[in-house]
Amino acid sequence: MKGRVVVTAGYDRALHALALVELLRRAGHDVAGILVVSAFRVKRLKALLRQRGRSALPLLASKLFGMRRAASADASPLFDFLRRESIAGGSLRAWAKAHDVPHRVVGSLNDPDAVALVREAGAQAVFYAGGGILRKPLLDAAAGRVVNAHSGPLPEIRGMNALEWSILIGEPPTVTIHVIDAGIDTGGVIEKIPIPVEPGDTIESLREKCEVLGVQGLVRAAALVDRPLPARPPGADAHRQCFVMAPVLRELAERKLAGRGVPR
Amino acid sequence: MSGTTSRMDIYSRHLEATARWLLRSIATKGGSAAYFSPLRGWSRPYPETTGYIIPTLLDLQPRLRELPLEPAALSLGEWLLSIQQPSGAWLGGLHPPSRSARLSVFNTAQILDGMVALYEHTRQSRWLDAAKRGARWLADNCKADGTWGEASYRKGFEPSYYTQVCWPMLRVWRQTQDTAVRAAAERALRRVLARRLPNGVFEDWGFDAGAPAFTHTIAYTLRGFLESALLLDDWSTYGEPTVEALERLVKLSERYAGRLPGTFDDAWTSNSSYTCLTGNVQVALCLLVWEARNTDLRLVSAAAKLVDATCAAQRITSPLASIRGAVGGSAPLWGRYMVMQYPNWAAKYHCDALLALMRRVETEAR
Repeated sequence: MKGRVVVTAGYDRALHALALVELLRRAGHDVAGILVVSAFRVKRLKALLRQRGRSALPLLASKLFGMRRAASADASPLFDFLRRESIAGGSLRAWAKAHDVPHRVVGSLNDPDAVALVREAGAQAVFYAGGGILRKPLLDAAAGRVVNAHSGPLPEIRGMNALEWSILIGEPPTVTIHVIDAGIDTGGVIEKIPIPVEPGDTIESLREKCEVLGVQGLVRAAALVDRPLPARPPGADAHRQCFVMAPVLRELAERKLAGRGVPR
Repeated sequence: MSGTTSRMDIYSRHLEATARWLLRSIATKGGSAAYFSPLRGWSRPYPETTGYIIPTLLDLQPRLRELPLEPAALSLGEWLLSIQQPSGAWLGGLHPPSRSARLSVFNTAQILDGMVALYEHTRQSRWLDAAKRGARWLADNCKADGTWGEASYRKGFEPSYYTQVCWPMLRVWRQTQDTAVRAAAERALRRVLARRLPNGVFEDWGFDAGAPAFTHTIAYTLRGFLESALLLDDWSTYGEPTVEALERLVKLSERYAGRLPGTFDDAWTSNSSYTCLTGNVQVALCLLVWEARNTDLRLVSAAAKLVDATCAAQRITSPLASIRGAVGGSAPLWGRYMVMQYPNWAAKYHCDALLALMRRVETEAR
């Protein structure tokens, strides 16, 4: 089945979102619109600075100007994948122009503009590749058919930094393709994809693997968009909801991954 | 992570700098100065906080072997013994006391914490004897309804943070088995329990009736319950009622990236533009105490953010020794809590929180 989908992105130079739209196109699916959240929104900038402090600045630069670096100089799962798939970098705006796809920059995915695009596109589903928390108007416009790739096992590890939390508490690193509903990562599970952990892997390299596996999982899910989507697992919201991991625990997770001891 | 400083190294540096500042606060006058003010210099010593700084110094000694922390703790204890009143209580306020100084419930209890710590550390009975007399005074003056009346912080107002009085009383009870002390502590705890609102707030947990409470006294209230629950081995009565508030504080700590607003009203709303640093690290301690019972690294993460934010507000390389390693009352320093001052209790709780966090991370790493 060839699906008709709208894709969201947190910023215009998001490489994983670019890979997603391109691979959907190559698989014969119809990308009926792209929604990109403006990085210049004051509320968003303030939230980012409050959450990450000064470390938000390089992150912001990478989002605005596509200055993203590979996880390591030797190997980068995401960049290797892009090379294998012959996907050059660039912006979603340029890709949309090249393929005559509506591209809209919005302040939030919950803005009327964003909701209108989803309705106008007549999409069977929205594929989420970033852009913040979704509220009822957008979920309603998509008739509850919003699909996401989450970087941890669901419903066991919901929320932020799911990969880091998985490593820290000893859950097998997993990408979950799931439905977004009104809860936080509580929607029905479409597919669970184990993340292969190899010697030398770091959190950054595993994050890139997450992105690759997430893109591949979403492309597979596009073939299923005409079918009923799975329902919310019972008791999903009773499972742990995680927040951004504190740096000391992230260091500990990194050490655990490397099989080392206390971070000193 | 090669080439970068690990967070644990950063914590070690802040711990040492803060401990050194605490040592500097111990003036030749015997006790630890209540605060350093850039405008007025070091204050007079404060018996109340001198008391609860003692266990901090003793806890730090094995980790900071090169610093004379244990001798300092013993000398603070001697000073407190020298100013204990014949009734067994201690006076409120700074030392030397003003003419209007009265025997103080809260201050006496915090000093008990130091006395018990010294007894547990040295096994010398004179520390426990002093603690017994102080605890007896508290028990004898605690009324049937769990209030203290005249010896309260303010006449006619019995704040909910007096749970922080019950905890040291129960520490004495554990050593002496004086049932009157335990009974009085439980009366006071039950009185505060009756003030719990459905949203987890304990009414009047601030310095003033009906006013928004600093996170400092919110954390006092919760910690008093948590530690009492552990000492009495009764989580359902005294620990469980704090969970709603602790969960709120976890979410708020995450939302504000470790910089909680300085005050909250009874609806958990705040219009404070500053953060109360000691309140932040005291909340971190509450989360770590809770986590010790209910293993959940998310609580450790929230506590770490509160500690990180306090470290970020601290200057540990300042050329001014009186500021180097100090912890401000508020951030910014001109915030409403301890305006333009560096209180010794902020440094004490920062040390406690750093130490507890480092121990927890080390345990997790094993």
